[in-house]
Amino acid sequence: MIVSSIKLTSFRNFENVSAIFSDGANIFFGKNGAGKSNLLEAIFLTLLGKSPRGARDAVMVAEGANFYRVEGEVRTGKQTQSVAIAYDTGGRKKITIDKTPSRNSGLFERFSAVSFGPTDLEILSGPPSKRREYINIYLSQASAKHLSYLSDYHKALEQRNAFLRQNEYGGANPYDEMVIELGSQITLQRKLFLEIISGDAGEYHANISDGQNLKTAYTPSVELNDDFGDIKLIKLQFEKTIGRLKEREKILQTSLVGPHRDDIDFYINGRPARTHASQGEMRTAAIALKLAVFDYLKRIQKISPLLLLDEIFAELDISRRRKLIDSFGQFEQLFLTTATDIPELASNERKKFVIENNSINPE
Amino acid sequence: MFKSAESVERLITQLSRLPGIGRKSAGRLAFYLLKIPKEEALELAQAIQDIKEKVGFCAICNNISESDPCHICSDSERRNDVICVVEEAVDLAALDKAEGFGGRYHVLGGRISPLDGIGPDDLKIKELLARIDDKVKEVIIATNPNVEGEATALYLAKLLKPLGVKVTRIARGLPVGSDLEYADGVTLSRALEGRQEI
Repeated sequence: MIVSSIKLTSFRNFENVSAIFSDGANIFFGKNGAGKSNLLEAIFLTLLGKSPRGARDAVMVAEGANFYRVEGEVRTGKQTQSVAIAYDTGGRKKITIDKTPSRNSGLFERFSAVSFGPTDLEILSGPPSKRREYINIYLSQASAKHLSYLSDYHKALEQRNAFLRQNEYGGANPYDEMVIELGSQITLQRKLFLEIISGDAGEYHANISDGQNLKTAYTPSVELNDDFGDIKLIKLQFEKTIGRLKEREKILQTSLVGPHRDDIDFYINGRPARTHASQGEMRTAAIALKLAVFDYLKRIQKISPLLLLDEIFAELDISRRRKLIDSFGQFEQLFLTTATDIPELASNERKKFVIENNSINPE
Repeated sequence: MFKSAESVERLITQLSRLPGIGRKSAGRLAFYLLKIPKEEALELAQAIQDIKEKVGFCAICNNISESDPCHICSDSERRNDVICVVEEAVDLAALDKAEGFGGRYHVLGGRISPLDGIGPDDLKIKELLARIDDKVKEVIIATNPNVEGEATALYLAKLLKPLGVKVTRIARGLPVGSDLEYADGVTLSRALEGRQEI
């Protein structure tokens, strides 16, 4: 997948800029605060309609403006599609693909992108919601069905919680069956996804870190044995767990079991990463996790997703940097930001851009 | 707005209460009614009065009807062994256009949606369960294929199955006469799941 050009209007610090990108690596140089990450965000937004760092649309509108608009030409194989995302501060968001209005799921069905940025350390160090976000955004790119399960699940969950809050109703929660049905599907898909990611991320991690071991373990909130893989079994256990927590749910008036309470545990050389890993080690693990989803999407979609790497060299020692750069060859198109000139990147197969004074200048 | 004609203003206010009608459309409708012959306008008024006075709900299936039981429940030609459950009377009207179903209906009067303050007790669910006897072999659940409709279907299935009746759900998939290439991925995958041998 190649983004061959992009045009931004009142997006973050860019008033009106456009750029033409090349296949292979595109590198954005610039000082802190120049807007390099904003540019990566705009490219990701063009493909998937969402910010890679979870920013709300209103935040991405330039100061003093009342809308943003990002446009891009996206090439998949021989086909080129033009995508435009516009948002006005009244809350209206419009997505068009080749001038035809589309929903967000239309973007997820067509395009895929993997991004890595400084906030991704939170996959390891942050709250469980960051780990669920990691699964959601990448699993949804691989499976449109997963995206629809997720959005339906959250609607059903809201209904179930509304019933819990209205305790004048007696009896069983009428949304139990729906939440169990959708939640079990999501649980199974997450399990299968993480089994694959765990193996691949482990390999990438060992390679970049000279043999350190990374283990990824899914801990679903439904109480399950390690070797579950049958949807019927998950539904049964889901029902049991709900039954066991019934009284507590009534008191707390919220759903205590389901994919919205899942977590992932990471271990580096057998020790829990959250409490034992250094910043550099966490960064390496987070990069390995992103490279693994990159491989996964590439295998499933038979096309290379776009890769966006924001300041990945910070906190990495020279040997880890080199190994990381060596893996770049396998990517169709890559966007990279850096505040410092990195000698390892001096090769001429790469197009460089200088980001300064709120503009993008090819070097 | 129309200080000179208070009754016009009153009509506009009434019309703008209808779903999908704003003040501007209401104004346009009011002026249309002003222009048409008196008989025509009174016919509309009479029709409104009639539905409020004559139309009620069928005590058996909760369908809207001028007779009780309704024409479907009192039709002796229809099968008694299958009941099709729908959310609203308008769904019944739509479904009854489909050929090949000669059974009875049951109108729930909505769908379970606690966010809108609608719980199971607010729908005609007890009435449905009371209708299940030895004669009824199958209940077809035809609630809408969205989250609330599916949840209502699953909830009903859980209540109905212990009564020893076969519970089925209408199929989800592609609209007839459409092209595959325009269907979204989720619809297609549902259609594949629901495939049938030919």
